[in-house]
Amino acid sequence: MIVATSILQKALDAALSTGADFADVFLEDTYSSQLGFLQQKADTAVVGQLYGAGIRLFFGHEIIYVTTNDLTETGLVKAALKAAQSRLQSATLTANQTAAPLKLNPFDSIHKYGQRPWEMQRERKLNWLRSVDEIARTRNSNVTQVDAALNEKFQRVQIANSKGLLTYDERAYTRLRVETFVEQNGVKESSHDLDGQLGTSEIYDSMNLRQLAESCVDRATLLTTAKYAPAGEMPVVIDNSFGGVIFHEACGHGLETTSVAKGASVFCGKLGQKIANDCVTAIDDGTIANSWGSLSIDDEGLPTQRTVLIEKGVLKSYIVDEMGSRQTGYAKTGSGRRQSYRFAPASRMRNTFIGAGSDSFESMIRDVDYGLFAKKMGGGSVSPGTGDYNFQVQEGYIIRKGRIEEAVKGAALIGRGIDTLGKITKVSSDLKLATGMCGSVSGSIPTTVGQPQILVSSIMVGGRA
Amino acid sequence: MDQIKIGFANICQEAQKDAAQVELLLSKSESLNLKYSKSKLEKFESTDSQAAGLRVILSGSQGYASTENTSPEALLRSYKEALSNAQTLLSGMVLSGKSTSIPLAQPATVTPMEDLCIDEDISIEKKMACAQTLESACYGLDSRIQSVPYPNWSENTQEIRVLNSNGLDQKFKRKFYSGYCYPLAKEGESSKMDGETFFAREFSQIDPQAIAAEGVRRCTERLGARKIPTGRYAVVIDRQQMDSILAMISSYFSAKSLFDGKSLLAGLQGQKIASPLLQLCDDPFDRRGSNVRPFDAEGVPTQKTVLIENGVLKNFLTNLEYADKMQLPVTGNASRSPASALDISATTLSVRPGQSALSEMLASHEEVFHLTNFAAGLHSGFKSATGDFSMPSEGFLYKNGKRVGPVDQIVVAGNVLELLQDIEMVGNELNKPGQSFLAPDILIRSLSIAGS
Repeated sequence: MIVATSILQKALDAALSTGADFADVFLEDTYSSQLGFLQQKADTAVVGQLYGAGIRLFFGHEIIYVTTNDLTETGLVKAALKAAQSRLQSATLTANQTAAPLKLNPFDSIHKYGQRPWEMQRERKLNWLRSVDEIARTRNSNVTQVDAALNEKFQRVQIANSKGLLTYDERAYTRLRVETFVEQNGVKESSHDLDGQLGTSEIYDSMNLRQLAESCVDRATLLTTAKYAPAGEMPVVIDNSFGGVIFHEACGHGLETTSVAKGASVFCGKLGQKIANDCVTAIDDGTIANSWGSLSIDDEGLPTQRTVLIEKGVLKSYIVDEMGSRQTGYAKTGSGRRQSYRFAPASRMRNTFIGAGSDSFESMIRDVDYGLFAKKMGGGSVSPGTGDYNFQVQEGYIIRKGRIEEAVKGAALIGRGIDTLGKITKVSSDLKLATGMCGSVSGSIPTTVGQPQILVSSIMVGGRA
Repeated sequence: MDQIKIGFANICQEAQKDAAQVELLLSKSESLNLKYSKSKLEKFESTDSQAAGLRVILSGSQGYASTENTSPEALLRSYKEALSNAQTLLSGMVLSGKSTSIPLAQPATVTPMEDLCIDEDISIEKKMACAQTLESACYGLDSRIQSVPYPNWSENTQEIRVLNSNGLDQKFKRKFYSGYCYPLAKEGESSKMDGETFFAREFSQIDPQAIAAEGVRRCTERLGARKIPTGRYAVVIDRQQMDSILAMISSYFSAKSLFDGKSLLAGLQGQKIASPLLQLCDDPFDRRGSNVRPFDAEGVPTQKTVLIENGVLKNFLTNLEYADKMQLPVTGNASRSPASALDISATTLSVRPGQSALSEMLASHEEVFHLTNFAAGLHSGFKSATGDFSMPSEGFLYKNGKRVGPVDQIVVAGNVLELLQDIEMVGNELNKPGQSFLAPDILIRSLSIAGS
């Protein structure tokens, strides 16, 4: 626990003192560490501490949110009163409501952690980065720079609300990022990749760092000879793993109640309707052990869950947080998330992926007369109001007459989520997940994307004219 | 003496024993965010935060630690963590023989900028009414407005202070109002979301009706947009969108990028890298920019630095460490937050206006694409290592100087260094004040557009 229960009880009572019908407190004490390796040496060492609280009140559909770094009883009660009185210049402090008695709700976490980031020797961490650097430079003598970093975070959270909920959780995150720069025949290129887990860093002892570093170098090297992608509408086969970013951008954001409740999503009012072909089943799952986007409880204190979003093409559920549930009437899905106490929570994705289908990858490629195989995706974004999305293809290949041929670079895929979803015609059985960071109203949070290989009958490919 | 000064004096004593130098960056901020939905208050956010970042220099290495607890005890603990980080890096450097000393700023006189923080006594009711109008005014202006999913009104006060073991101690404070209003419009099958942003140093400068009206205009004028045929087009990049272009080249001017082998401008100082029409500088003093500041993250006074003159690359941007390492002049461009390591950033990149009126530029070729919106910002479509970009964009097609109609679902692609060379005309009007950059419209001779 970060502070005593009695203090939270007082803060919640203060929060309800001017008529709010719900209040919660999110306390956070987070240790973070970043080690960077550049120019063949340890380059950056930064540690930091976040220490603060966010107090949230509901007056019907109104949200009041106040933060403070003062976690003493005086500090928290003062912040709660500030929130309670924020709308009223002269509030009457009659405690017409009090919070339900707080009762600790312990749970068994399925996520296992090892050594805490501050307990582990820095030299051990630097060795992983050093070996990534060495592997990359050995792979190709034309590597001009390797930029590798290990980011670790250990977040302790305590959450209490006026309905009597009290809970505490510890979350460890570790992430290794590598970017390699290659100059070959006068052409410069770069490629990056990352791996992350809800867990502690000893996983890198057993992880295949060689594969991470070498595939990064190989991709950058390949790009030095790749031509620019062509432009136009064409069928696209999207590889598994990070290819799932298409579902994340094209559909996932539009299913969050943050946009659904405002009528700012193309998926509004479509629950129970067929929005994709039978081969498409999509899931947002917070319960995968030690997966990057997993949780035990969400940032509103609710147990996380596995939520089927689309089943055989039919829209089954939205992604719902406390306020989203209040606004739309849909049941909460344990999806209230935030970057830190500085942000009020919002409905957000966790590990979000298209489920395994029954088609073979080979059959998809065979089906394409002329199109693009998008093997490695870059980032993307979406405007949830219109569903217009875009994302980049880091590594792509032209498909001609059912065969994968030359590599191409610089392709952007753009379209409208609901249209693209309807054009997924094949889904393979080879499901893989990948690590990502997702930015939205409640900040930047760890999310996993994923899918098996899919065939989209037509997407606009923005290459060079 | 204030509590910070007392705490820092203790740290300096410790640092002396450890033969280390130390710098403390403090940031305090207060913000109020208001969001309305259908004229009703949806979210009222009031956040106070403070953070202290310590940088410890030990011979040629430096370590960092930050904390949100600024008591003398917590600061001392952070100092020890930062020292330990510096020791870790130093041991690696001694092994590889790559240790050279890192300078720390000396106390210097900085230009006072009291006008960045104008004290005003505005009641919460007035602020809420302003935020409400920003959202509600959108509905009355055009029946095609469905909702305003993204309205935001905010008031921010920030105080930045830098202290170091050379006796430097300076601070500045700034206050501003900012926000946006992004309505969603629908007509037939076409729906569009776009809007307007604002920035003001005084409350009286905010005109919520006008901001809403501009948001609605920007949004509705794009209804019915369609693709244009794939091909190469002359493109006018709208002055409000120039931040995307400037953000692409910004890191190339950093002496750290140069040192790390990541800048595409390496070895080009004194050479022509752009059209002779292009004049670019970094200007931390121009009040029309949002990022005006008297000193940088190391406490070094900021200055105006010419980057490109008549198309020729003149200077790089530096902090103390990289000015020293690369033997370049100090430009006062150190940047960092309390929780991050020292870097180099431009303050306000500023392109000098040219001679051409926008209407002339749009009529300069038989077909001109007026790019008014980079749909994804820089989120994904730019690769710094090569300068290549492929950006989903929207705008308007002009034929013989006449607007044909709105355009969307296209990708504009090219290479940013080639784009600089291909500037044919520079507009005579700057973007609106309060953005992080200053720039006029520019006409690019030819860019690839992927469309229908």
